[in-house]
Amino acid sequence: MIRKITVLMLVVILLLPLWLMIIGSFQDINGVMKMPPDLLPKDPTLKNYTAILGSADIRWFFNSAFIVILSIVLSVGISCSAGYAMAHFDFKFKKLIWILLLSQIMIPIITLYIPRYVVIKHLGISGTIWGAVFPCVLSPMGIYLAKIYFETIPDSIMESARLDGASEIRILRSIVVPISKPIITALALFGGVGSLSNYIWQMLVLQKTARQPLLVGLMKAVNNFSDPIMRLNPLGRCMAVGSFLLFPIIIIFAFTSRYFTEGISGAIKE
Amino acid sequence: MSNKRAAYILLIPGLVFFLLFVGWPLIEVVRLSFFKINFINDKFVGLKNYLKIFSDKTFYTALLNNVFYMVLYTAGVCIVSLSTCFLVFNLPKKWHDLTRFVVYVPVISSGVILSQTWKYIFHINGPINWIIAKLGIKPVAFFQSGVTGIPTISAILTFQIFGIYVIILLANMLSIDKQIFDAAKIDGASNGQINRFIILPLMKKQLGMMILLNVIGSFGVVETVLLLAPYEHTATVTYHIYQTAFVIGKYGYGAAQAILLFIFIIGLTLVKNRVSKEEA
Amino acid sequence: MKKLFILILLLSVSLTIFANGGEEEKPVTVTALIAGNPAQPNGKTLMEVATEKLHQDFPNAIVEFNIADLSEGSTLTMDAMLAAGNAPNVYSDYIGRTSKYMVPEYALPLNDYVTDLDQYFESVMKPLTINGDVMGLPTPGGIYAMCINLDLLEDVGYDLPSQENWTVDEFLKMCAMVKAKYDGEKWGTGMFAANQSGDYLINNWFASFGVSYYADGYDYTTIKSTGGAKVYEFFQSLVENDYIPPNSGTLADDYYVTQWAKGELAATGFFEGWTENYFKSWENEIKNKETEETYGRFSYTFYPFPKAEGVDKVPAYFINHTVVVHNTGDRRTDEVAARLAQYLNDADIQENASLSNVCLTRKDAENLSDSVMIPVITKIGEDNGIFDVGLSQPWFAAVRPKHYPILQKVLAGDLTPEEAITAYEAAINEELE
Repeated sequence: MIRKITVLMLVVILLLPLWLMIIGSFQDINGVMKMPPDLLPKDPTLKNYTAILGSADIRWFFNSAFIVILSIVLSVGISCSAGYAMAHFDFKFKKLIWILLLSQIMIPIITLYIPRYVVIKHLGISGTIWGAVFPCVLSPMGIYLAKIYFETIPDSIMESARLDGASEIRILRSIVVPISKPIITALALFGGVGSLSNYIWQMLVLQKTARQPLLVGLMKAVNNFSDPIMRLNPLGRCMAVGSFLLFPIIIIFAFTSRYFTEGISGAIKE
Repeated sequence: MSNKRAAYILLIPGLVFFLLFVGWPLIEVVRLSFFKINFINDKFVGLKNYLKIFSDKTFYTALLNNVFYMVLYTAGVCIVSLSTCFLVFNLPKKWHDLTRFVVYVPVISSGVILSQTWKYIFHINGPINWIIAKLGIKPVAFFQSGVTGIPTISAILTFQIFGIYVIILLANMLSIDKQIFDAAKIDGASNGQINRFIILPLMKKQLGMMILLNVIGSFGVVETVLLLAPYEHTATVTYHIYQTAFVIGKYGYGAAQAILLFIFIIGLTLVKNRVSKEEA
Repeated sequence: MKKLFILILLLSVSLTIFANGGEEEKPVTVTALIAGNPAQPNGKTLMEVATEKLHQDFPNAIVEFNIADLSEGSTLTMDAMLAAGNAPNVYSDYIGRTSKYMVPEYALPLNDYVTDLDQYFESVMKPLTINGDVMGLPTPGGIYAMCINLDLLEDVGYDLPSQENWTVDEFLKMCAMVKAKYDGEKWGTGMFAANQSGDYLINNWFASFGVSYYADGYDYTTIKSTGGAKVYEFFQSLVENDYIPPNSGTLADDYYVTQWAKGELAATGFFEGWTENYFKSWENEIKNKETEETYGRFSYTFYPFPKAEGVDKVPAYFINHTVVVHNTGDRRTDEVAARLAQYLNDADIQENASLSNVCLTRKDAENLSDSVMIPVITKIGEDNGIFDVGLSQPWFAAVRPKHYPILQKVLAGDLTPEEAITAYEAAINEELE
């Protein structure tokens, strides 16, 4: 019983900052600065939302959608193929390649930004959504998760299939892919959310307003201190942006969570 | 062998992206670390940037801070995620799903935006200080000094990331054969003993990886620190590199520090690999 | 296997070739990176107005604007674009960031291109001029001067002299009278040194004692040779006499501004643009707390910092943005870019900016705001000049963090004034080489 209560308390604590942010987005400058904060806004206002939506460009929605979809496809593809290769094959340089693929987390990524910017300029994709997405789809965490997931398929199954004469492609098709839904969903969630919140890089690459995604466009609007409306309640407007971006994320998550949490634990159980 | 060929083919996308967007930039960073850069007229200075690090007091301060982060953050994540797992482990499945959902919410929330909320929560007139005041203690300026700032930021970071580890560890825990527990219970073991002596050892590999990832991660934290507490006593090494390269404007010097950090972390990883190999 | 790799190599190469395309005769395109897009009269924005004027001179020019993100305070965007070779033609941003680019290797000398240079005030132009070449155009900005709490002075019975007679001796007299009545609760002035933020509010004291930061040409610092030790001596006397709050060296500027808003500091460096905000936030705190504190807003005015003996004028600290034009070597493009820069900062734009309570940098622009203080502050700048602390120099960002650790030690009494000024001089010169 105590355990259940503790868990519930944990739930409250974990959701509280988010709740405050959502509530704050509905308040004007006095409400949002109030101490202690109201758990429910006394004078809810939609002004923050009208301000940010008023300055929102419809193209931002499409840009964000494009970025998310592209990121998901690429990152899931790369992570799964690399993770699978790491899990079930032995080959020369395996250790070296593993370290290389994970090395990205060992250097402060922000120092890589300037050379990366030069690289995408050389590749001709600077200023485009491709340039914003490509450098960010290699995810060490994703590869790692894919690897441990695919490791749960016993080697024996693979071996016997190979002994039976099945080609690698056959193995992929009939053994690996069918059970991959959980990891794919998990990586999709990971990659999708990551691409939505990758602020600094996207801001750097996508400078034309027409090409910007939601987060960048909205944050720039909120930080535009020459605009008297934006200057009035920066905290509230910031919270509105955050809340606004949160809703789609949480909805997607609520639907997919069943698949992937079940998946990782379910597959590991097998 | 078709086996190996298949592996190489599978790795092509990953390696191509790596070469283009990690490898090539990395080599550039190494190259630039031998220059004094202002992007207008760059001057070759050889090893001067590296030598400068050894006499740079602010770098050592950041390094020292980072050691604290390393310990607090890693311990924090491990303890909190493990505790949560143990907490929910024996409860019915419904609770598992609820927990997994709830702990993952902070992970998927955008750090940039949430930082503003954190700033507000820990503000001198914010909710936490309000609670503290009610308890009769003087309000604390959480981000004002290193003593309070580093634990606070570690706590925030733990909060934002431990969900991932809960999910991984919980999955691991649940995959342990139930029969082992039944046997232990018959032998009269308490829950606590089961946790300590059976579950933990079985998860050693995952725990080791988690610790390594967190140690590395503690060096890389920059966004949160940036937005919350722009004071030197809470700086991590990465934050210091950012300041050096982009705010003070010494990109070459910052690059040298980054490369040094990189070498250090690779060293750490190799050491960890050697240790776990010996244990296995 | 090999075939696959060759295929990929070919793909990447062809992508690159495709991207660079072929060169053809195009109309002039200029790109501009600016730090804000304020609304102008007639519902237009700065970008629109400047583009319209530009098209009157160059009808076929194409202008692409990008608004810089100020939230991270770094030069990442500019550096990346420079490294990739597509730096913007026009860059308008806070002088602490643009200073890096106002060098002959990057900036276009504007003397031959901008037609209204003579309308700018001498004192703001001087730091932006290298060997007679104008490296950038100064936008309106903020003058930071000494804010005097008139209510508090009346309360302690101190008669504030005129600006001409506002000397350090008078200042000390005032501090003594504040201490006499409010020892431990209110102080003559404030101080802080926890970090570099807000340092301009303290560094103005160097000007009070006639100290200058740099010789002409910015080759070395004159902070010591022009008597900087006297300033540290003065600071230590403030500490000894309890004329500043205790442990000021450990405070950061956000404590300092709250002290000001509470009315605890009689005369201290401040900025007119903040006064309303801090009054309001303090009132909010009072309203929401269960406290009997009744500090409210007070009446105030601005003076230059007091002058020490032998000093005639005390220049004020001035912070603004500058507009820099990239010297691309292509005269056609540079001409258009320079004209755009000119229109981004002409009299109309400045007059509109004046409504946000900033001080103008042009003689032909009229200050349209109805603020009572702005004319006062502008006059301080006009009468006393600008205190040049090297803001316009590329190494300023590297020099700036050097002061506060030394200041901390001075306020704590860990260094003698001589030692401190020697250390400061060495630290600055290190960055200038």
